[in-house]
Amino acid sequence: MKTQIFSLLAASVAASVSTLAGGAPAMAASDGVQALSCQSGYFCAYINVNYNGQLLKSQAGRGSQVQVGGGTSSGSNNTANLWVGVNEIPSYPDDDIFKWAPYTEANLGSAQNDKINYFNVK
Amino acid sequence: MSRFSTVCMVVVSFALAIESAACGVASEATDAADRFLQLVDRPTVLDEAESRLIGQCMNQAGLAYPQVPVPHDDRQVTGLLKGPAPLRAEVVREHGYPDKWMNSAQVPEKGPVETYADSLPADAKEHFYYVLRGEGGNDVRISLPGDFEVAASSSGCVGRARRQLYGSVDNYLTVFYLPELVQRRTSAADEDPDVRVAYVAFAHCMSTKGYRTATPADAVALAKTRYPDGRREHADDKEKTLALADAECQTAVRLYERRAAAVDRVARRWLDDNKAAVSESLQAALAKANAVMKR
Repeated sequence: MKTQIFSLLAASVAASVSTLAGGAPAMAASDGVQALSCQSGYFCAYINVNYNGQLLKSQAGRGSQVQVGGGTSSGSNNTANLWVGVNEIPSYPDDDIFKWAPYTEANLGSAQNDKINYFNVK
Repeated sequence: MSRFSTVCMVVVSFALAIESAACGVASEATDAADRFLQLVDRPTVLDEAESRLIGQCMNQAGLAYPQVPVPHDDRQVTGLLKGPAPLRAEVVREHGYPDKWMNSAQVPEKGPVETYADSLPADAKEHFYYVLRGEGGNDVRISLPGDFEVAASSSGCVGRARRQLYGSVDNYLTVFYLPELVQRRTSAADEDPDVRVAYVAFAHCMSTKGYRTATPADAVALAKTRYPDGRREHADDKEKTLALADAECQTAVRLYERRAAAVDRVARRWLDDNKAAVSESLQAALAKANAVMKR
């Protein structure tokens, strides 16, 4: 059963997407849009937790490899892409450290916060 | 089928998945690991559905939203996590290193969604992001084990799509980021004593073949120097020879297997140390999914 659960979920989702999209959220433009940590359309990496000390602000598209200096402790992804943190020393090729989902932000905490050398944009 | 029943079907499916991952986690470490794998290898269709729902929501608000293939982690599951595949001598002898390791110069200036938004007049661009993300910023903020915090918006087309698919934005964040949290910890595998011994043996093996490369990553970096513009259509003979030496040395010292075992030890130790907190996070996600079902 366990191995089939996500298959069931996948089938349900595939069958349901068109029905779920019922209508745009009721909203109107206003001046009260709360500021994000990083500008819309950009990915930002920060040296400190809580999104302080900006190391990087980028709109790089898929296939890009973006170097980042210093240790990334938090990141804010306001793009439609996946931003994948990679550690290059010492390491094995193609080994991800951490991924930021589109339109999310993550604070990595204090442990091992100096390991990301560059980002792959996917 | 009514929209309500369809939503319920999706939420029930999700709740079953989360329940499977949550129930009994505290009782058996092996069960926790087994269930954790359900999250690591979650189906791509969820991301595809999210992207389509966002696009449809934007369209219904009278806005375009460029559809692009969703990002997909196609790496294989090794142990508890996705990771790189081992180099195969029979493959690299013919083709050199994988293309995705060698072609790093394709640098689109920005993604299609960002390109489209930036093409709009300032007011229209602001409206685009307002409809996409809502006005609350990243208002859903959750803490996961290990001083780790993630956040996303609950409103706008993005928040709406995630609520529809996962029951709540909290659920979405838990499902996406728990595996990432464990992945984050496994960088410690390179400091495992057995892995360090294996790297030393690898470097010695490579030196006997005429290469000064301490790690497989060094070998790939050396191969890339053969293509200064960052593009290579086909591996040349020198790259193939280097890649073959790399593969043979990794096999000789069992580097891939020893490192994978260390990664697995780190991940299982983390899961064992945090099974109560992981269970709590997953059960909280389940509770919220159930609350959605009862509305």
